[in-house]
Amino acid sequence: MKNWFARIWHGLKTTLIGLSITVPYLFRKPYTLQYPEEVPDIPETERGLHNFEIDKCIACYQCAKICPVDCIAIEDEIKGKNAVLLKFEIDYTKCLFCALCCEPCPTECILMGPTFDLVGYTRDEVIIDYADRENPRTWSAGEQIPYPIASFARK
Amino acid sequence: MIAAAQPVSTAIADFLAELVGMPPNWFFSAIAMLLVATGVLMLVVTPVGLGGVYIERKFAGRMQNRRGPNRVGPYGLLQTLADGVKLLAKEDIIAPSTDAPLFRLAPYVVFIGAFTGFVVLPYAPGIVAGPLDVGVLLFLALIAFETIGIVMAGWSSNNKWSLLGGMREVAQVVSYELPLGIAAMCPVIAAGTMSLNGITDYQGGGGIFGWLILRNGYWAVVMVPAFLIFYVSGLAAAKRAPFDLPEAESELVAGFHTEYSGMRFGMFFLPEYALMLSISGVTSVLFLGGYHDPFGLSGPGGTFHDVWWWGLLWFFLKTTFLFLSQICLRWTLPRMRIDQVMYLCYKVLLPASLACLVGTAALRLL
Ligand code: SF4
Ligand code: SF4
Repeated sequence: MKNWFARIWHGLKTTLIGLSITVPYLFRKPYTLQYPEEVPDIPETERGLHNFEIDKCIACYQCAKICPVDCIAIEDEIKGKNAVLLKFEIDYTKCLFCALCCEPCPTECILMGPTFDLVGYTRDEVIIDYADRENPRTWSAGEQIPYPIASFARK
Repeated sequence: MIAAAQPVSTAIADFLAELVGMPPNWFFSAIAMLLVATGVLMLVVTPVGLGGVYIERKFAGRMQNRRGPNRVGPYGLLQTLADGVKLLAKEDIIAPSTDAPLFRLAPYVVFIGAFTGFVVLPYAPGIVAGPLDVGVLLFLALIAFETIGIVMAGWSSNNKWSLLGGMREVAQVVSYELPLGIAAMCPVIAAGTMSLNGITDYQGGGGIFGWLILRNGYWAVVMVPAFLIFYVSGLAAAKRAPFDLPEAESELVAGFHTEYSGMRFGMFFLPEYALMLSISGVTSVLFLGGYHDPFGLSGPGGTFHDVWWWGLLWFFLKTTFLFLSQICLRWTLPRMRIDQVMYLCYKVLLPASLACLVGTAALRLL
């Protein structure tokens, strides 16, 4: 009999304890980030889509050579002493964001950027041509690149 | 409500008769009554279904640190409507091995059983669809009727999960029905009537100490346990967690409605919320004073005596409170095993409810 009452009391008590844990969550701010509207905080060293300083690039093909998945396609044209980029395409269906391309670049003109989302209806839409100056992640001379990866900035 | 519905249906009957050019007779009255009943049902089903499901999902979200539906319409209010449209548009699959007539009938039985319960509820002074003398009895009968539909669905699906769900429902019904009925008898004995209106009237006056659960203070000794028993059995009757064994999505796929798709599934989904609401309503009538407020303003001679909106407000508040508490419990407690349900119902609730019944009778004699 004593045990019977004890079990009822235990049941009631544990239910109340459970409620006291769950109910306060109703009044807490939800943890969810409303992603397309709210952008999460991206750390400065995020390895996202590349930032590319077009005027510094000397078309030396180092980045294309080291890329483990061969996703950088470069075409250039020699004009006098300089090379002019015709195409600098990175195929983001292949790129694995390893940042290896940033390391050998003699002019430090290819860097990893903070953008982490890229969508398209076709595969071609995620092949981005950095030789196109209209590209928002292609930077011309004198422009400040946001978030250059600190460890690569060898001064 | 019945007072308003009758003239409307008479008017519709007259209009229909005039349209056809025949003298009004029983045929037109029947059609008019069907139309009015459909209209009332639509008025009840829509807010109950949409509101109930929305609140449940919102609560579930917030209790799990999520936001819940928030994309369709302002604050996600139209999410349920969108889901309803989706259900309507889905294919209605009836597997060849099912017992088709029973399979088709089952959702309607559940639907009718769950939604008819609203008929006997006194929402406010003068607002009750069917002021029956045996309202409590009818309500308990309707809960049992709903169960038949579930067993039917489980049996006719010809699917092991559904059958297991149906069998669990049977096992659960025979265990919770007894304490549910006996706990409901405590207010009936105390008030001396089986009519929900009568029980509500009995609790008028005296504010919170007029309510049966705290009547004159000392009634609490039997009424608080009886209330808890009725509440727990009511949870089991509405198949809410921790008593959602017939459905048990993590073990039985979806239990008795595994084989149902499209609107037939919707017909199982909406009644759950209807049943939760009507059971909350009956609980508030039986124990929490129905439409009487805790300050005694709605009792005989009070400021708001027989004021319908004041009554409706308090009935709404109490029912909503119980409804929300059911949702909170669902997202707090894990599902019980069937033997634990049996233990709870037969060994705890049943003796306790019998003790409450005897205690109520003794207090009544005092
Ligand atoms: S990040 Fe890696 S995979 Fe992507 S382009 Fe650079 S080297 Fe290639
Ligand atoms: S390594 Fe640097 S400079 Fe050379 S081609 Fe690549 S981006 Fe241009």
